[in-house]
Amino acid sequence: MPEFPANLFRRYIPTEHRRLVDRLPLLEDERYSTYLQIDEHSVYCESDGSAVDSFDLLHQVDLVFELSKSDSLLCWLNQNTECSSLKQNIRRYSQKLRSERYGDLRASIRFKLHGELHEGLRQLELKKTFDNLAKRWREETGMMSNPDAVCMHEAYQQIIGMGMDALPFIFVELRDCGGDWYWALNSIVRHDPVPDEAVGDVQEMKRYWLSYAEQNGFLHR
Amino acid sequence: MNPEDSEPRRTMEPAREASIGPFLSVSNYRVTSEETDAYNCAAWAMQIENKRWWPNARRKGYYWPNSEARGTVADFMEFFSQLGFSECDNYSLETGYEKLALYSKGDGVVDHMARQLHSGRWTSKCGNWEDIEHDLESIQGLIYGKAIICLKRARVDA
Repeated sequence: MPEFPANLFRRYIPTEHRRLVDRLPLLEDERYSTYLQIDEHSVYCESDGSAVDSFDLLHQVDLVFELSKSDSLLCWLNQNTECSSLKQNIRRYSQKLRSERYGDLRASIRFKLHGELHEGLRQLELKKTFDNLAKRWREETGMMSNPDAVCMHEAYQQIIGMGMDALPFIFVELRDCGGDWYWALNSIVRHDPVPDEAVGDVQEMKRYWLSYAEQNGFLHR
Repeated sequence: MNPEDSEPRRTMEPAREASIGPFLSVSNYRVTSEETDAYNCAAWAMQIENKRWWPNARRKGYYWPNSEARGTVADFMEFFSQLGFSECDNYSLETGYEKLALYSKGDGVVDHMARQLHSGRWTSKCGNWEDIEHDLESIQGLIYGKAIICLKRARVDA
């Protein structure tokens, strides 16, 4: 693969696209040529479902989309055969973006990249934070019998401090693993869907809370 | 499962065992149930396995009949007195009586409950973890404190 002439490239690329140049080496990564798969809601890596790779991929799609609009760049690429690999990649991804399968996405790709990508990355960070806190909380309070001690644990309080951002993760935890999430849920949503007759009955409390989650869009799957 | 049934001896993961307290060891306890959050130690003390009981914790998902109770030792004693229990001065096995132990770290609130078995040993639901059969002192430590009150009543299942 020819070495990418970054300095030369920068001279030709419009100022507004220069920030993209810094990410160009990733475009040469052949992994991305087979991983691209886009459905209505997500872009992800086919091989292992890795979210991180999918967001790397989104960066590449973003890059190609931006670069493909640059006439000066395309003209330059056509004149410089040493960049054939880069050109092929750009062409391949551009074709993907223009194909019938991804046609509907073309109009929204920028939104996806600048909205969903950033939101996706934020969600990844939130999930990582939540998972670490939840793991520590479970390990350090799982044996406790006094619910006050369980709910006053530092990690649990930090989860409450995450506010509404924590809700989707809490509901998944509640659904899949159970646990003393009711105080956190009550504190964050400031509403208790559990009627008095169901209090203490874990199966019933879970049912009421998960129903609330589905009705309010906090639990999609 | 009735902890007095004969069954293969089972213990917790070592990390869990250590987190309960320094006195719990493979020689003085055994696991008698699977892990569940369906009931807690207070419910287990009353042989209830489908509900979680604790005073002043309605929004935390625990039932308690008296909404005025705050979770103090006095609140527990008052409630269990309504079930026929009274304070007694020893934790020994007494034929014809069932006994409960209230554990506390000494700050006036209850941190754990255990129920005495026919054998004289005790059974506890450890938070959301498993039930264990144990010696009275073996679960003492920073989590549950120590047994401070013994309650007893005539056995209804004698």
